[in-house]
Amino acid sequence: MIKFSVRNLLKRKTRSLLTLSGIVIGVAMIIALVSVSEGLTMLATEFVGNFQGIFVLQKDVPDDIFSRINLEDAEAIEEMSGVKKASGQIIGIVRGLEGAETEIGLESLTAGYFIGVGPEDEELLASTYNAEVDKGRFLTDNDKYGVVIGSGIADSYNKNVGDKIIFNDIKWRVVGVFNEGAGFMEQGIAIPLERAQEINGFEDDIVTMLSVMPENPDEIDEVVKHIDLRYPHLDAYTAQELGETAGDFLGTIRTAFWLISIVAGIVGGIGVANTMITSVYERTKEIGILRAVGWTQRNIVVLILTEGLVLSIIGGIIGIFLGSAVANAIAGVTGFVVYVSFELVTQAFTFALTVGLIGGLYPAIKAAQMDPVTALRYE
Amino acid sequence: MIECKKLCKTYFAGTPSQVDALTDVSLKIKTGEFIVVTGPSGSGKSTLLHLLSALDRPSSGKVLINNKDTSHKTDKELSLLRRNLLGFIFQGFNLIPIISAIENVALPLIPTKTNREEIRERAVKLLESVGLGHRLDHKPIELSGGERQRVAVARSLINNPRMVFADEPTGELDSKTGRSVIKLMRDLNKKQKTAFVMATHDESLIDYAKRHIKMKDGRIVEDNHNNDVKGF
Ligand SMILES: Nc1ncnc2c1ncn2[C@@H]1O[C@H](COP(=O)(O)OP(=O)(O)OP(=O)(O)O)[C@@H](O)[C@H]1O
Ligand SMILES: [Mg+2]
Repeated sequence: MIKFSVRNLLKRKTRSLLTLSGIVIGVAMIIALVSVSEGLTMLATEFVGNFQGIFVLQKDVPDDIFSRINLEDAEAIEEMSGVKKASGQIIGIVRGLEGAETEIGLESLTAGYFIGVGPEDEELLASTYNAEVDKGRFLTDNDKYGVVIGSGIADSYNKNVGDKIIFNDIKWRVVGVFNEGAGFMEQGIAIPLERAQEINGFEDDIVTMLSVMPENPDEIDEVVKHIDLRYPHLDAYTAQELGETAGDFLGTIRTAFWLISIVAGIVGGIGVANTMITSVYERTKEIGILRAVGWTQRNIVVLILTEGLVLSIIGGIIGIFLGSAVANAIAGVTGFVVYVSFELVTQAFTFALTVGLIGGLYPAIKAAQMDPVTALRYE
Repeated sequence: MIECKKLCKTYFAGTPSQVDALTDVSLKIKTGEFIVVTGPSGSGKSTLLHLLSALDRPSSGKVLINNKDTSHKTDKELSLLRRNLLGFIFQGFNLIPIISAIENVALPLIPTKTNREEIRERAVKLLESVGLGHRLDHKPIELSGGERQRVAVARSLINNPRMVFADEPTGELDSKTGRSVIKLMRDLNKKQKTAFVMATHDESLIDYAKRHIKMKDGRIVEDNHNNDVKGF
């Protein structure tokens, strides 16, 4: 029976291919979209896990990019009780890394942001981002165009200590490379604060954010409260909160991607059912013949369902590979982390089987219920 | 073996276009018979064959197969009955166009437990016996009308039926090939006691049959036994 249904499918190539592509597209969509969102979630989890300390931004700015803080505030905060250290940084976007075109919109999530730091921020990067210099050294006061690059960038662009690297129309020299597992900093570049100010067109004493390290990590929430109270123009968060916000955002993306996948699935499923129904109508006579020569209704249902299942299995497998390839391509182009989990593969495959079964069930039952004599007289 | 009592088949009952395809047909067919059914076009030959072979259900009356009333049987039981006991050669070829001759012949046995090799062997043998040993892998479209009809004959025999219903089995054949098909049926009838009920327009076939039923307007108008069957 299986062999017979496979022969049937092979004999009706166009129809089979149509059905197959419906399943493949549905499965590939699910794999690609969900793996990207799962990758992002993993990144966010890492983000939350690695961040410690407090971030301070200007209050009520529409986006972090618009935050402007005077370094005087950093000095003042450092004087507060319970605060060990406070320093200013500038976060900016790396453009034209090694001549690469960065696309607006995607760039903030791709390999490519810099953080302007002072030489004294080494400890801060270590405690906040888990970023420690693995090769070479950290920035010193003498480094005018020296940079420390994330391991991700070092790998992608094949850079090492002593190499030149070009971005934002400036030629820099790599003085150090951060460790792997530096989370956020794996795709980041630490540059001297002054250069960051120049790139962003800031005054000498302006930064985008402050990083504050509490004396005692257990008192972090109190320090946040104090800063908020004492400096109404500033907004302090724990890194934890920031990570959670990112997590929420990614949760939304995830839900959206799942919804898109489900819609794709339903559309694919209807498409599959539709081709299968048409195919059954086209085969009215054939089914009448089979019934007349003694096939039971059940035999007919089994035949049509087997055809549907064979297509689902093949479509599912192709879809999983295609989806993973697309996900990897997305990863390659955008620098997103993608993660194709075993669960996702199972879910996508289950989806394929369900579509094949449900798509096949209705036409199968319809076909089986046809009156053989009428089907035989059908021209 | 198969018996029908007061069989009626009406289409579009109760409407102005009502068709009484069969009216009060009663008939008894025993194992090993060889029957030719003739009658003008539209006289109800095909309808009768469909009802006797449990392909269709009557509007009223009964069909008994092996003394059992078929009206109470489920669709599955009737399907299995057809598969195990009956063969059918349909008016028109009713072969499946996309598969080869040998696959068409094998169709009835695909859902059974018979193993593939055996099915193939049987199909080859049957196609050889209808003179199509050299056309096994041809699709219906690549066969002549007569060859298609012979494929249909082979298919009706693949399940070793006890009774074969043949609706115009020689309609597309020249008289020589037509007679060779009849001869094949007669041989099977003699050797294996397979019963044949054949509907035809070809009056010359009457002489080859042991029994001749003539129909008109949905009724049997003659039912003759022929003691002087013509040989080949
Ligand atoms: N599904 C149907 N709906 C309506 N009328 C039908 C149907 N099937 C058969 N008939 C009618 O029943 C009558 C008998 O048809 P049947 O096919 O049994 O004739 P036949 O003797 O086999 O004719 P032929 O020699 O042309 O094959 C015809 O008048 C036909 O129009
Ligand atoms: Mg007819």
